[in-house]
Formats: sequence, C-alpha cells, structure tokens
Amino acid sequence: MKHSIPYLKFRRKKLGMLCFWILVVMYLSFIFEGFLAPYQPNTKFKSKSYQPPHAIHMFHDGKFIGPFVYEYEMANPFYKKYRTDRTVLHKLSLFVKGDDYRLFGLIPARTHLFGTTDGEPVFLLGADRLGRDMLSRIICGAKISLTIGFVSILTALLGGILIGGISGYIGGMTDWSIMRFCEVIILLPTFYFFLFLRSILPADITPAQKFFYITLILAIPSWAGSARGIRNWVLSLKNADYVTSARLSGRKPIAILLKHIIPQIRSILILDITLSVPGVILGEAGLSFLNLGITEPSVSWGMLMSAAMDINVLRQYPWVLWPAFVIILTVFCFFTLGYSLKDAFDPKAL
Amino acid sequence: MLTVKDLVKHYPLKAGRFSTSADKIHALNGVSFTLGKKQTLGIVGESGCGKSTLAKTILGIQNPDSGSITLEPKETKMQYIFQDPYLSLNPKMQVKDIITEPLLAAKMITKSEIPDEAEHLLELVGLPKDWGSKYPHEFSGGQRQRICIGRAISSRPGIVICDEPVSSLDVSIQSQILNLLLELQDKLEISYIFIAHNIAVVLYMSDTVSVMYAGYIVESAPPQELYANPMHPYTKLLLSVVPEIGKNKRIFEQKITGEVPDLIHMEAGCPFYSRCPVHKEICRKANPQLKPGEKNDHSCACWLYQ
Amino acid sequence: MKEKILEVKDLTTRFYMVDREVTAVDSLSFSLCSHEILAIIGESGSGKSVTNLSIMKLIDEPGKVLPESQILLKSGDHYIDLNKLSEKEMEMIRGNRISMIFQEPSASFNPLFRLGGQVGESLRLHGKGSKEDAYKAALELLEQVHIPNSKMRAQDYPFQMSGGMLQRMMIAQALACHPDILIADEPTTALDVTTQAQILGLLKEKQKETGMSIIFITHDLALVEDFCDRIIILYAGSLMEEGPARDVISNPMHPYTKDLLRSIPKPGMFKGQDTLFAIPGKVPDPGQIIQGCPYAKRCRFCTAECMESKPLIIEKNGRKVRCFHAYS
Repeated sequence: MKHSIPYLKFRRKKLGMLCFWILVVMYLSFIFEGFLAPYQPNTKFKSKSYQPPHAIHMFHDGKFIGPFVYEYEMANPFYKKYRTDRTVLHKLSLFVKGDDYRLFGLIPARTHLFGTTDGEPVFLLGADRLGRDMLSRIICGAKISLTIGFVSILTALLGGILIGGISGYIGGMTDWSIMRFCEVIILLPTFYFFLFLRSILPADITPAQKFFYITLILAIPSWAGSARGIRNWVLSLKNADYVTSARLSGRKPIAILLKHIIPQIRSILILDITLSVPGVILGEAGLSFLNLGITEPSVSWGMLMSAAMDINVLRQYPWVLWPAFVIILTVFCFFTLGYSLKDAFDPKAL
Repeated sequence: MLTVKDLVKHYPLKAGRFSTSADKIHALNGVSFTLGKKQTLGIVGESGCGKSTLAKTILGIQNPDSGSITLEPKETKMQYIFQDPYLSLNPKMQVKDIITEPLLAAKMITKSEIPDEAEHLLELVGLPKDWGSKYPHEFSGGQRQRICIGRAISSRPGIVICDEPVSSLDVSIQSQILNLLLELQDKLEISYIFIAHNIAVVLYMSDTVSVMYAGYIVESAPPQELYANPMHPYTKLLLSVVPEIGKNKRIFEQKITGEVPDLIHMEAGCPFYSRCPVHKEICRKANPQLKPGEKNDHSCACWLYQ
Repeated sequence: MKEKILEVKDLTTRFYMVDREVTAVDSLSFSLCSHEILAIIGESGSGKSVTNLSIMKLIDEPGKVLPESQILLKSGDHYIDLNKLSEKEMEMIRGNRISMIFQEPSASFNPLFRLGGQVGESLRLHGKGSKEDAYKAALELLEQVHIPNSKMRAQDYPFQMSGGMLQRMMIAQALACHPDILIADEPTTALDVTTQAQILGLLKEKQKETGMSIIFITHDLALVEDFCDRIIILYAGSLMEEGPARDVISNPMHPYTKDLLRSIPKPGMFKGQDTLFAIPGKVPDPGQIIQGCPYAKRCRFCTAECMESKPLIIEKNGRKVRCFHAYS
C-alpha cells in the first residue's frame, strides 16, 4: 500500500504523533468511563472529605505483598487533616466488583478496572469536599468537555460552509454584506459574548437542554471565522481553471460546489476543526468555572475547577487542581496535532 | 461557422468598492473575424494584446461591451483548452470522471457509461485506455494536457479554443501535443481558435493567422502569405525576433525601441506608433483600419498601405 | 589561451524526500572559461536550475550537494572549492564574484522598497561604499542598462515596472559588484519575444564591456545558437552533449539533441505541408530509477546495450557526448 505524502510527513512528526495518540486514548477513555473509573462520579464517601491522594505501595515491613494503599485516618475533622495509618492496609486488585454502571450507557455491569479488595475507597488523585473520587470525576467529566468541543465546532463549521460557500460563490453585494457581518461577530469579545448569551437562557432547564444550549452558544462566535476562511477558498477556487472548464461544460452550480470546490478544502476543514476545538473546550471550562455552564449533578472539567475557586481550599487541598492539568494537556495536544497536520498538508513545508 | 464583429471589451480600473476612478483597461478595441468549418484561426500577439480576453469573451465567460458573436448553426458547442495543465484538472477527481465531465453535464451519457466513454476518449488522445481510474497527479505535464484535450473534445464541440496550449510544456513534448491537435482536427472536423505568443507555432497550426496588438487585429493572412510577405511593421518585428535554428539571426542585435503599449491611456493614433521604425505624421493622428491589401485574403491595418 | 574561471567536477545533488530520493544532478563536470557565454540547456527535471543553485550553495534541506563534488572558482592564481566554504565565506562570493538573475524579476525584488536602493544594495553589503555611494552607483548602473529616465525610475516601486524593465533592473543589480560570473537562469522565459531580444542584446553588450563570463540556463535551444559560445545539454540530471554552440546545433551528435532540434517548430513550417517531428514518450519522473541511458526509452537508435548500462562520456575534438553510438 502506497501512503500519501501528507501521511508520510505527519508520521515523521514525533510530537504530533504522541499528541494524536494521547487524544485517541482520551476519547476512548470516555467511552469506557464506567469501567475505567473506580466509582461513579457522584458516589460520596462522607467520612473521606478532602482526603489526600493515596500512594500505591508494594512493600510492607520490607516484605513484597503486591500493590496496596495505607489507610488515611482523620486527624482533625474540622480542618480535614489526615494522617497515614501504617498498620491498616487495603490491597488493590484489577477487575473488582463495585458501583453499578452501564457500559456504553447500555449494558449493566459492576466490574471496574481496579479497586480495593475490601471495598474501602481508594483515591489515587484525592477526594473532593463531599468525599468523591477526583479520578472518577475527571474521567467522567471528559465526556462533556471533549464532546462539547467537537459538537459545537461541527455545528459552527456547518454554518460556516453554508454561509461562506454562498458568500463566495454568489459574490458581489451579498458577499460584501455577509463578510462585514462576520467581521462584527469576530470583533465581539468572545467571553463576554458567551456570558451575554448565557444570561438570556431560561433558568429552569434540564441538564440535556443545558448541554444543547451551551453547545450552541459556544458555536456562535466560531462560525463567523470559519465562514470567512471558507469564503476565501471558494472565491479563489471559483476561478480555478477546472472550475471554469466545468462551468463551460454547463455544470450546475451545486454540482460544481460539491464536486470541484468542497473536496479541495477537505484538508483545510480538518485543520480548522483541530485548531478550533481547544478554544471551545476552554470556553466551556470558563463558563462552567463561573457556574454558568455545566452544573451539578453533571460533571465537566470546567465545573470541577470551580471547586478550586477558593484560595484557601486550593492551598490546603491542592489536588482539586487536577482538572486544570487535564485541560491544559488536552488543549496542548489539539494545538500540536493541528500544527503538525498543517505542516503535513502544506506541500511547501518539509 | 463563427462570426465575430466589432468586439469591444474595456475593464474598469477600480481600486475597491467605493473607488470612482474612470480609468479603463482597453483590452479589446473592435475585433472582427470569421472562422470556417474545420479551419484554424491562429492568433498571435504579446502579453497584453487582448488575446486571452478575446477567448474569454467568445466563450461567454465575460460579456463584451459591444459587438456580436454569431454561431452557425446556433447550437454549436465550444470548448476551451487551458495553458497550464497543472491548474486545469481537478486533483481530487479520477481521470475518467474528468474526461467525461462535459458529456455528463450535457446529459449526453449516463453515469454507467462513464468507463466505456473514458476508455474511448483516452485512446483518442493517445493515452493507455486503462488509466481512467488514476488521479491527475500521477501524470506528467504532457499527459495532463492530453487529458485536457480529451475533455475538450468529449462532447464533440464544433469549435475548440486553445489558449497557449503548449507554452507551459517541455520542449520535447510540445510537438506531440501540436500534432495531436492537428490529428484530432482531421478526425473530428473541429475548428480551432489557436492562441499563442510564438509565431512559429501559430504559423504551423493555422489556416489564417491574425496578429494582435493592443486590442486590435493589425494584420491577417494565411500563414504562408504572412511569412513570405509580412506587411505590418509589428508583424515584421515579431518575425525578426523569433528564434530560429540554423538561421544565424542574431536576434540580440535587433534594434527594438519602445515598450509594450499602455492600455489604460490609449491615444488617438496607431497603437504601434511609438515603436514603429517607419511611422509617418498621420500615424500619430489617426488609427488605420484593417483593410484588404492587393491580395484579397491578406489584410493589414497600417497607413503605409492605405 | 583562455583560462578556466570555474571548474565543476563530479557535482552530484540529491534530494532526500519523504517517500524517495531524487538525484537531481548526477556527477556533472564542466568548466567555464573567462569571457565565455556557456549555455546549459534542459527540460524540466534535467537539473539545470539545481546545478546553478548548487554552485551558489543555495540548496536547502532536504537537498544536499554530496561532499565529493568540487566547485572550483579561480581566485587570484589558485582555485577555491566553493563546496567546502562556510556559509559566511560563501556570502562574500554571492553577489560579489558570482551574481544571479532569475526568470521572474518581480519575485526577486522586495515590493516594499524603492528600486534604486535595492539595485545598489550588494555594494553596501560587500562593504564597497556607504548608502549614498551605493545609490549613486545604482543610478549609474540603471543608465548602463539603458533605463530611460533612470533618476525617476529609481524612485519607483517594483510593481510600477514592466517585466522587461524589471529584468533590466535585475541585471543592473547583478552587475553592481562587477562579478566575474553571471548566472542567468531562464532570464527571458517570462518575457515577450520582443523584450527577450532586447534583454539578450543587453546581456551580450554588458558581457563584452566587462569581460565577465555568463552561464545562460534555458530550455530554448533555438535561442542560444549565435548567442552562446558553448552548449551543455542536460537530460534527467546527466550531461548528454557538450561542445561549441555552432557545432552542436549544426552537427548534433547525441540522439536527444538531434530529436530536440527537429521537434522545435520553425517559422516557415505549415500545416499540411510539413510535419513536425514529435519525440515519443515523456521526460523521466524525478526520482524514477533509471537503468541504462536516461534517454534510451525515447531514443530511435536504442539498442540492448543502452537499456543495460549508462554510457560514459566520450570526449573527442573538443566535444563531449554520452552515447554508445556517437562514433559508430
């Protein structure tokens, strides 16, 4: 099998490849979230409020006994200070039975990737105020945070293709008006625009509705950018010799758009998606951080971050900041992947 | 078959939507000719002489400001062969779809007939007939131009306009393409309008050659006649600077004055006046009309002969 | 006796692409004498432009001039190998001892600066005068290349110039430091035929005045017959034929040269009366592995020997030819 040049070029970008696989793992992980997460995101362990992360040990008293964690003992219930109790230990094991969940949202199951054999909770990334496992919550939060990026960019792109395509193909006054309108949208300060749109939403809506509205809100500023880009491409391709040739042969405009113009901008669209998704992920995180986006009982990374809003909490229980790290990693991966793809598609770059 | 009368096309020179500049590029300033069946009209001229504008106007990509284009019979199809075969083939389409596109657009065939028709067309332009499922990037420049020719002739057009069809090809490929065009003309009875800057190529391809300068046809004659007895000073200049093997022409010693004409600020007299070595007083004041000379098929627009 | 001012030995330039290796120039040797115009002729992929970029050390990644290549430039009474010079030392050669002009003059000038300043720039870069000196010299150069109203035109920006005028400007720029060698890479291809004749005339005139040598790269065999002293014909990165211009044109020895000469339309050939000879096949793709003579597949005289091994260059009577059948 002969590979295409962009593929060969992309394969040489080590960092781009790494980011690609990290993202693949992330997206796969939210499909298997119930299995990967040791607990359900809202399972509370009341006595374990703000418990620090467990360290995994292998040796007890100099003897190898396999992976286990030591018990954390509440030392100060008021300040939620814990002390390691080196006498009580909980063995870890793979594939243990735990909370009920539905695999792929369908199949009822109880097996989790790992857990303690005695049913005591284990918190590899610590616990939050209500004693919920941070790791489980991050894994489950990925579902909303990662899908919202894609869904809203795809929505925006659909709008962008439609409006940009019309604008570029018709040209003239239509084009001019549409483009000036797009520029106004682009000029609006994005985040305040999110806030404004959010403020006009009704207060009593279900989580599913909320997800839908937030997706739309995030899509609105980005369609304008896509529309401009696509319009420029359509405009330049409209005068390509092969398009002229098709017009001379009497091809209909819609056939020209579908057969001659859209296929050329496929790689541009892929780039547009990879480079726009991080912006939307950050937008969602920002809204949720301010409690204006996703709220309890749904879980998203931005919403998890809102727990870190209080500087005192942050100082005493730094592990509540884990979601921020995951957001940064995701955004970094998307951008690196995007720029690697850009180089790979660019016939002039090496 | 095709009669073009007094074609005029001026492009307004505008800097932007709100510009009010009244300047115009005088691309075509009254061009007339006729083209017969199975004939080739060669058009030769330098950049900016209006030859590409002429092609676009005849094809209807642009509307002329004035003048008429009459086809006989009315439903005669026209097709176009572009200069750069790297730009005129859609890189994302298979060759069989490219080459049959005009047929499909005109509903002359159905989708299921594409492979058979493509095989036939590929064979006609001298390519292996089983290459239909390849993509343009797998072809060399000359092969791509063959595909373009195949596409142009697929719907059996009466007239094919070739705009510099070989000037972007390798020297060793050019003659292949020229000969292919001649062969297809013979087989399919096509008329060509053959546009090029190289007068040697135009002389070889045409039944009638028109020399264009600054949006005017300044001389028109059969190639043998034009080559043997050029009348217009510009034609003489063109013939004297075309490189010719084995003739020891020393073209670098030719005295050539002046520059290409300014198409924005056109003055009254003959457009070639400023470069003409034999200009007279009248040349500055009035523009000569294209008039038949002693021989009926040889016409020239120059005060020397009027 | 003419002395060799530039001697290229076994020049091999290879491009390491993602999916293949392309040998653009394959162990090419030639020399350039003083006061000589040498034409390098070839089609796309023949390596003619890569040759000149290799001489100037302007080959970028993924391309590489192989280390065994030698590019000897006469410097005083000895030769220096340009291939072994550092980038810094090479900067002292470029634009100073060897200048270049290109096919697209509009692409070689910065569109944001006035032309006068750009024409004299190399003088300033090579420490041969201040900004004012360079500008004065530039005005003089513009006059030398016959630009009318040179004082006014020096104030113009590149977009205000016609192609022919810009090409004159580029020649003026190239001549600023009185180079020993001028490399002209298809300098007239983008120009109209009348302008082409003017530019050729200008090059010839300047060459006679300054005594520099010119490497004239072109695809147009018809152009060089009386303009150049010697011709090198390249095909697919290899030298096919070399000799005095007139001899090569009137008595070509390599089948490729013969075919090429026959396939160029001449004025005075007419449809129905004459048939233009067409070379069958196509130029080899870059990176295509060629066994035997690169031209074998298209050659009328091809024998089994030609398909098997690449012929060596036969040197005889001041001519070089790479063909088994040249003298048989």
